[in-house]
Amino acid sequence: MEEQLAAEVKAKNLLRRILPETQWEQFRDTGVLEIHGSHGIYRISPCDLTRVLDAQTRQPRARVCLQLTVPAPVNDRIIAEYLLIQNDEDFYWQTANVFPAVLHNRALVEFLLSALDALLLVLLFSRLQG
Amino acid sequence: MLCAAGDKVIAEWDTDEISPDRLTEIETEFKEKMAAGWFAVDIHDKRNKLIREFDPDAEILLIPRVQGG
Repeated sequence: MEEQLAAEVKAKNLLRRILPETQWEQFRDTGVLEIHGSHGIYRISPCDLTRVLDAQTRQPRARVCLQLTVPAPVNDRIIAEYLLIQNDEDFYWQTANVFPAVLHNRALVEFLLSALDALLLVLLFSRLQG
Repeated sequence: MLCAAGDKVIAEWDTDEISPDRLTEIETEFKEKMAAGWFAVDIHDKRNKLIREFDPDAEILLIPRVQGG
């Protein structure tokens, strides 16, 4: 537990070394790192998926998940995301898993009803054959 | 390089004093990491620039391969 805490502190110090002062202060005060890229505004949080907002309207565009392939403190993941977005944003999008910004309730209900329909159809066929 | 402990230093050198052999060893390790899909960024003075080739004058942060989560 102490090792994990020490690792988090170390990663946070490295993040501070890397970020411009204004971005570091924003992250320290809000817990969210905001980066402006060509695909929109990225809001990177230690405890949530990265959210991408439209640069003009700030409406949610997508949620993005990128991870390191080795165990590492969460701030290391933030470092990796920050540096990749800054340097190779297209690679970031090709590699990360991208999810819709919001799953509308209506879409969810339609999906569940379709799944139920399919299930009932399978049951019906199995009864007819049996 | 980034790791479970946060980060760790795998090599430190002074370009004026390091031997060519030691520099070659460090470069070889760098190339192995790059071939395995790692990233290298020069973070000296917040330059934060991705580098593909070993630069003995850079402060290099090695980042493990990333994947969608």
